[in-house]
Amino acid sequence: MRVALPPGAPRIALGVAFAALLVAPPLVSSFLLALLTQAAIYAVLAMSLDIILGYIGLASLGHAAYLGLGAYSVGILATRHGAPFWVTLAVGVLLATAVASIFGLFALRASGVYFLMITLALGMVVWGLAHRWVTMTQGDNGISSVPRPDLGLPWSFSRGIPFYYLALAGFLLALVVLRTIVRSPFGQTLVGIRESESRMRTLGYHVWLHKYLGFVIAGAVGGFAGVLWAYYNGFVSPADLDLATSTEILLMVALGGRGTLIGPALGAALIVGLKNLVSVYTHRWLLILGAVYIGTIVYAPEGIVGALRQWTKGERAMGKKVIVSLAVLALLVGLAAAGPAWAQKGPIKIGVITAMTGGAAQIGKDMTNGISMWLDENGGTIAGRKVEVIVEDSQGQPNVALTKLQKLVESDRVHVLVGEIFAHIGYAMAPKVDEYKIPMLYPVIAADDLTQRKPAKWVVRTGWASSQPSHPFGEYAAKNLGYKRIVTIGIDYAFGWEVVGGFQKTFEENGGQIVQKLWAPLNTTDFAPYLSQIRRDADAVFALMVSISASRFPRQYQDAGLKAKLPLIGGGTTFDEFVLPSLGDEAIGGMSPLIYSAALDTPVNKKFVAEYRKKYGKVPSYFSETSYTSTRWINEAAKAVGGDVENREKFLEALRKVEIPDAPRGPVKLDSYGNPVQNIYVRKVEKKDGELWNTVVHTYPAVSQFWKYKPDDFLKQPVYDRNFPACKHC
Amino acid sequence: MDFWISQLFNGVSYGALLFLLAGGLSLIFGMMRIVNMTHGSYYLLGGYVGLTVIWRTGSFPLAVVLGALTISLVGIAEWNAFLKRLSGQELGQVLTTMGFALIFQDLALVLWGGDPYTIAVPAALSGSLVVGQLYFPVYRIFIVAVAVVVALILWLTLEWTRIGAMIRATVDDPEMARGVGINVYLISMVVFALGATLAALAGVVAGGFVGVYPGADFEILPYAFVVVIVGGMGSLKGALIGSLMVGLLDNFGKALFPELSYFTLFAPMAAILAVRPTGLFGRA
Repeated sequence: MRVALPPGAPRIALGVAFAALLVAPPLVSSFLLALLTQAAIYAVLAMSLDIILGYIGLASLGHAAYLGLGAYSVGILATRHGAPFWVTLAVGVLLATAVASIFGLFALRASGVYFLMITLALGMVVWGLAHRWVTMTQGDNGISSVPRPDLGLPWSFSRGIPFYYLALAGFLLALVVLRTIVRSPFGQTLVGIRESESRMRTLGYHVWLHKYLGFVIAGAVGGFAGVLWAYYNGFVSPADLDLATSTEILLMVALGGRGTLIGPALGAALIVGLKNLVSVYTHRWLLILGAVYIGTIVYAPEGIVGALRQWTKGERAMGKKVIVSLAVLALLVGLAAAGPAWAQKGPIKIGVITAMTGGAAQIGKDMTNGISMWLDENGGTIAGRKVEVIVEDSQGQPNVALTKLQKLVESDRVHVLVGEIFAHIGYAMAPKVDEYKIPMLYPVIAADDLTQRKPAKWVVRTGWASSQPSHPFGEYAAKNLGYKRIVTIGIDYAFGWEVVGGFQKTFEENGGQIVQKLWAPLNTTDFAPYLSQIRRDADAVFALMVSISASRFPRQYQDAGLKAKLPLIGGGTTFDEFVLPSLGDEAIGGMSPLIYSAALDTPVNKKFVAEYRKKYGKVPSYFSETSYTSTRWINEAAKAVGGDVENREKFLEALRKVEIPDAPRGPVKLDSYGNPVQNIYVRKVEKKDGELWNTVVHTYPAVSQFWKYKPDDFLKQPVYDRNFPACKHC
Repeated sequence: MDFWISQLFNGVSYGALLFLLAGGLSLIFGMMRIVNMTHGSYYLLGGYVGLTVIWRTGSFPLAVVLGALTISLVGIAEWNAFLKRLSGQELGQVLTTMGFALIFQDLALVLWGGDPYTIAVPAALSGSLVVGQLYFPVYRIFIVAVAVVVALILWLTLEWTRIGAMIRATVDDPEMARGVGINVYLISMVVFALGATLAALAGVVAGGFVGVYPGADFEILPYAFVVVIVGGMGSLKGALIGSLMVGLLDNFGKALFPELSYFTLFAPMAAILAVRPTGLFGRA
């Protein structure tokens, strides 16, 4: 098949596209509007990278660093110092410019593969700081609650449509500026250098200086994109600037067509669409994204715009392969965009947001298992109405979670939401949930302040608060176990600080002393650097591990010769049912407190564990239990309002009043702050029939998040963090 | 003093693991200038295959061998189907291998689920060697031993065998090598497969130590790159010294300057690159 495009076509197409972008907002769903906003911001970033890739001709693998610099400037200045838009904008762009002008000195000493590796290394330096310089960047917690900008204009940018126009304006500004630059003599010289460096040198051009200036300009514009990105998302996290993001920007540029500016913008739109829309239809969206990476190189090495140009100039006929792949891609995106418009009234719709891909995918699976199991046991109905569950993959990323939240509320029109795993995502979602006025259950997210100092009206926690099990356990360690001196080692983020902090408070109030506090980064699997620092003159070690780290810690603790000297106790997640199957005998004897144990000896729980095992082939984790109970929770509340979940205010009120006397974990009800009052079990790892179980050795009944303190007094102290309570005996 | 000795040991043994991972990557770089984003996936898949073998047979040595061999086939397939056509196109290589990395990541999740697992190691390799107040986990000593053996085999092969000579010739000057009748394509494929094999071997070995879990691929990838960048591409000696440096920097960085721990890892690397863009022992 041969297709020739008329010469004026590109201009007309562009004109139509821009007109469409201008009038789009009132016509499209707000979910699509959110994607367009994201695409506009990523387009700025991709176009800036195009200066390096398309015009200088070097592939950079560290461009996300500038996005990060811009975004963190906003995050830090706007939340901590209340800086206005223009200040954060100036600082963000200047910081990115300054860093790019330093990085350029390093990177431009090399070319080809070496340039790629150096930019990768420099990108990792910035990522490393975002990840670990906790006092400045909050580390893995990320910075949340970044307010939308106030430009002194009559429109409020906290709403979707005005912000879309702001992003679009940013995009057009970047496009005009970059277009002017690449069409100037300077830009033409860059192209000349790309084609033949030696010729340009012979002609007397200062080759290095041109490349250097191009590199710095790209960094500056990348910083600008970062500023917009932070304001759009409302928070910043290290994931914004990791290696995967850097490669994704490269893909955007390559897919759209490098050296064309408008191509990368198109590529950005396509990839944003692909990531968010395809994952609505299949949890296997990563396979498709992977195929797009490979397909771009195989079928369209010059990118879409590059290929179009060649066809309009008649240099090449459009290959059948290219047409087919473009058609498939367009179909996919189109299908996805048109899709979620069906379904009006009828069933009760539960929207579930959790990680279905990536490192936390199994936790997401445990959660959806719990939800399905309750529904299966109850005929798939809630309060007599049919139930439809829509599961959306957050990919473990805050910005994706927010986009999916929007999709579930606005396109699917769900009645109630359940979800998420990570505290920083919980904090990012809470204000949105309040804005939408839709009830959302948090079965897993434990961040204390969600039900203490920063409560969200529409969020109902059905799990537990981080420090809730720690309070009784600190007393238990001092009184029942008789420990006097304890070393703590915890995972270095808010959840870890809160679990350790709660333990330290009550342990020390009961006469104990914390003599050393160690912190290891999230996902640490090699604890050698920390274990060798542990003070051997203590009575015990309190470890707060999660997931992957928990699966490795006890073995390394034993191998370091510590288990024989210092008994190991910990937070609930250190030995929970999620990690027990991956632990060996080294874990035996480990004690920890939690709201649940699969070994809990009650008829309800025994039945729950047996059924769950039969169905899913494994012992339920607390993730499964809290999600199972959350589904029942929705049922109880829906029954109380006679199935009228459409009346959200009433439904929320009912959700807050639910009391479940016989959940697998025991009796549960909410306190007036919205956190469950429930039993805390002190558990000890024991081996029975060749399996590890958390035998319950002591029960603290009906424990509140405030323990024995008066809520008002308790709330006067700051939320637990790395340095609160201070380590007086270290 | 005890602190320093045990941290030194930790750093060296972590460096040994990194050498297994990055030694092959360095050779691939040196010969083909391929930026292989799939390298972390070989590590991950190797661990998972090893895990399956352990579950089925209970044999640790078999897990190591089968894990490594299976993944070498994956490497050969990827090389033949895609990468060999992309020589000299950094962008194409990065994007293609990134695409594979994403696909492998998702396939692993489908096949093995998302639970963290541990590869059970033989009793002889567990426990610790106690010297005075110091504990040296036997498994970490084992990793160092494996790395030493692999380094020796690689060195002897490269320096003293015919195929080694052909590899060195191809690294130095592929055109010339082709001119004197060396089958450069075949040699490249062998080296690529070797890189994949070593990464998978590292994956199985690491499985008994840090476990096998989703996300390990992209977690370990930057480390492999750092080793190659610091040591210099295509140099065995560089990979060895680079691994040790990175292992030690990482370990002491985490122990002494926790807030700057990645900075202490990546910043010296940038400094080295500023002085020598091709790494310590690399040739441009």
